[in-house]
Amino acid sequence: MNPASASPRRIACLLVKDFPLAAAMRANPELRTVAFALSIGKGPRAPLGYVSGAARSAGIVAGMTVAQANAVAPDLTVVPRNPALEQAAADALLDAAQSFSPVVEDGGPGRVYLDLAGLSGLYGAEDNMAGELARRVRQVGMEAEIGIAANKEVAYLAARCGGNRIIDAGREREFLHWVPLELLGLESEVELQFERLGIRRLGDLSRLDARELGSRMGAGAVEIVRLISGHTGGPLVARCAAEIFSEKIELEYAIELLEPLGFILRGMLERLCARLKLRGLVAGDLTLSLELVGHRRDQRRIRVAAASNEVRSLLTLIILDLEKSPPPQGVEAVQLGAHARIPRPAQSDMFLPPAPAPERLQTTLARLAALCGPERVGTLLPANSHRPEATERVDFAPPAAAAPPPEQDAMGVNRIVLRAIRPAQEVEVMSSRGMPEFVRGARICARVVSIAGPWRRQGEWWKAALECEDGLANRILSGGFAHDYYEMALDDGGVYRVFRDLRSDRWYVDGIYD
Amino acid sequence: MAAALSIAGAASIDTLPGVFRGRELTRKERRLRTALAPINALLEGGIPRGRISEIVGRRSSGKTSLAAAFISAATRHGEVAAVIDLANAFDPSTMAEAGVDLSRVLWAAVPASNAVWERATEDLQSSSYFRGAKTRVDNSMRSFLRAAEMVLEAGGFGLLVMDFGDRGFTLPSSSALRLARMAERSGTAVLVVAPRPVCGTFAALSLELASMRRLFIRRIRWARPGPKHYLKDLRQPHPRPVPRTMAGEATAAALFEGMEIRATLRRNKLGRCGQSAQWRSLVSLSESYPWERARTSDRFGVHARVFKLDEARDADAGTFQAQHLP
Repeated sequence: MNPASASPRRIACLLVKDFPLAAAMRANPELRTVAFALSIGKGPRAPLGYVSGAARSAGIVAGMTVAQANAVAPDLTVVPRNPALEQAAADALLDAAQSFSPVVEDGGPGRVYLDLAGLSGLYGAEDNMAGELARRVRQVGMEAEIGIAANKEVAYLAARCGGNRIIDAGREREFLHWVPLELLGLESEVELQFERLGIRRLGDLSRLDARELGSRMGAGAVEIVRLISGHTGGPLVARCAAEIFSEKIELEYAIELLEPLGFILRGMLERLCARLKLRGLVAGDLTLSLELVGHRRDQRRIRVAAASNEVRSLLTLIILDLEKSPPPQGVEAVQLGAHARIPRPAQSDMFLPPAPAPERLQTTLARLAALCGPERVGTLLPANSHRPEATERVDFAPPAAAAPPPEQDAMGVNRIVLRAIRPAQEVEVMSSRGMPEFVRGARICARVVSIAGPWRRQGEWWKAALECEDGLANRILSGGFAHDYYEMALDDGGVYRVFRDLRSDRWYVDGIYD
Repeated sequence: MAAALSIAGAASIDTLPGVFRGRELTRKERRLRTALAPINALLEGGIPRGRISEIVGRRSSGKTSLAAAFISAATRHGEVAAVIDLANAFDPSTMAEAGVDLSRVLWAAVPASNAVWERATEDLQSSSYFRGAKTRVDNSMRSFLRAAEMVLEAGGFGLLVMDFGDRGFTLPSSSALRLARMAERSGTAVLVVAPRPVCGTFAALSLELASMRRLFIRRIRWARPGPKHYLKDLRQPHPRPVPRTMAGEATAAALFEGMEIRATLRRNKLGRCGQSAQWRSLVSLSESYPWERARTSDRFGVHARVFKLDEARDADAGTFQAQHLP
C-alpha cells in the first residue's frame, strides 16, 4: 500500500481580504499609508465600492458618493476601481501559489486553493508552509491569510478567521462548531434572521433538523448543515501554468511624455519580475501594448538579447525602443507582457577552463544590450551572402567547454585580419589609364602605392528580378549588387579594401587590413 | 599508506596537460599564449592574465591580426572571450579564418552616441555646439568603459579585447586604475588595441607594432606571347604558368599577400623590454602559390560569382576562378 495515499489530503487556502483594495495598493504602494476608497466609475456622483481601514475609521462607508465622502473626510484619496489591476493581482496570487504547489485552483477574486500533498518533505511542518506561503504572497505585493485543513471549505473558513490558521486532521467538526456565522458571508437578511433566533455559531445550527431548516431558511442553510456534517464541494481543479506573464494598468489621464511613462513601466516591470522570480523563470522578449487617445493602439515587441529579471536593464530597453519611435498620441492604458524563459542551467567542470556563470552571463548580456542596443550585442557571424561584408548577429550562447586540444607548434606567421568600416565610406578615386592612382575621402587622402585586383562580385539580382518585367538587361540592373574589389596600399601606410559599385560608378572603402 | 598514495597522486596530477591548481588562476605568471612563435618568445610566454596589455600601432600595423591570434588561442582552448568594439570594426569572416571560434566570442559594439543623453544635453548645452560635440565623445567612451567593466564583473572570461578603433586618447587615471583592478580581481587578460598607449602606467605591457613591408606580388610579366598568355612570378626559380589576365593588360595583375610586422616591447612591468620580434601576417598560410591561394581563400569564397573570362577555360588555368578584369 502506498503510504502517500493513506495520508489525509491537506488543502491550503490563500485569501486576500478586500481584494480590489489590495490590488490597488499593489500597483500604488503609497496608498498603504493614506485613507483611500475605490469608486465605481468617475465623477463626484460615483458611489464608493470599497473603503480602506483608515478611511473606515474616518467615517467613510461603502455606498457613499465621492462628493459625500469628500465632505466627511477632505483628505480621502479616491481612486477609480481598475479591473485590469485586479486581474494582474489575481494572476500574481496564482503565481505565488504555483511557485509553492503544482496543483492550484483559482477560487475567485483573491482566493486560491493549493494541494499540499507531498510538500512536507520540502517545507517541513504545516506551520512552516503557511509562513512560506505568506512570504511568497508578500513578494508579489499583497498580504494573504492562510488556512490549512482537510478540504477547501474548511480551509477557506480557517483563512477567514485571519492570520495563519491550521485545522488538524480530524478536528474539522470541532472547528466548524466554533465558527461564527458572520464568517460565512451570508446575505444580511439571513444573517439577521439567524441572529434573532439566537444562532451565532455553526455549532448552534448543526443541532437543528436539516429538513426543517431548509423549508424555512432555504437551500443555503441546507448547504451549511451539509458542510458541518462533512460533505465537501469536491476535489481541486488544477490550473494550467501561464506562458505569458502580463501586467496592465489603465491611467486616469493620458500621458504624453516618456518620463512619467517610464515611472509606470518601472513599477509594472518590478511586479512582473517578482512574479517570474517566484516561478524560477526569467523575462525573455517583452510585448508592450499602449492604448492611445482616440481608440488607437500601439503594439510593439522588444527583443531581449539575454533573458533576465534585472528591472533596470529591461526598462532601458523599453525606453530605448520608445525613444526610437515614440507613441504618436497620449497613452491611456499600458499592458506589458513578458515571455517567460527558463534560466540556463550549467555546471562548471573542474578540469576545464572557467566560463561565465550562466545567471551572471544572462544579466551581463541584458545590461550590455541596454547599454549598446540589442542588435549590437551577441555573436557576430559571417552571413550566408555573396557580399563579403555581410554579417549576422545571433544571441551569445557559448557551447560547453570541451577538453582543450593538444598544443600546436607555434608558427612564424599568422593570418591577417580585416577591420571593417561600417557603413562603407564613399571616396573619390582618381585614375590614370584605368588604374586608380589617388584616393580621397573623409578620413583618407593618399596616393596609391600598390594595388591588387579587381575581383568582381555580383549577386542578389534575383531578389528584384521578379518585380521587373522590362527585359533581361533591366532585370539584372534593377536589383542586387555588382562590385569590383581592390586591395590598395596607400602611402599613408594603410592597406585598404576598396570597391567600385558598377551600377553607380562610385567608390567605397569598406575595410582596412590590420 | 593512504596519505602516501594521495601525495603521490597529487604530484602526478600536476604533470597532466591542462591541469593546474586552483591558486594558479590568480597567479601573475599565468599567461595567454598564441600560436605565433616570435610573439611568445618576445612576451616570455604570452600576455599576463589579470593585467592590462596594450597593442598599439598605426593603421595596417597588424595590431588587429595580433589581437585575433590571442582570441584564437583563448577560444581554441575552450575559454570565452569578449570583444568590446568602439569602432564597430569586428569582421567575423577574417576572424574565423584566423582561427577564432566565433561561438565563444561575445561581441559588443558601443554606439557612437547615446540618443537619450544627446537629447538631454541639447536642451542644456544648445548654446555651445563644440562643447556638446566634445561631451558626446566622452559619453561613448564612458559607455565603452562601462561595457568592459560589465564583462569583467561577470567573471569567467579568459580574454577581454578593448578595441579603441582610431581613437587613442589617454584614459583618465581613475578609469585606467579601475579597469586594472577589475582585471586583477577577475583574472581576465585585458588586451587594449589602440593607435597609441591609452592606459599609461596601469598597463602591464605595451607592444608597439609597425608594418615593415606590404607584400604584393607585382613583378609579373607575360611568359610567352601568343594566343595563350601566361604570367610568371619571377621570384620563383622555375616559373609556373598562372592564369592570364585580360589580353594585353597585365599592369596590375598583382596579389596582396600580407604584411611584414615588427613588434617592439615598449613597456613591460613583468620582465625585460626594448626587444623586437618580426613575423608575417598573411592572407593565407598555405604553402601553395599565391594564385592558388587566391582560389582557395575565403576572400573570394565559394559563394562568389566571379566572372570567368575566355582563357579561364584553359587547361592550365581551368580551376582558377578569380580573373583580373579591366
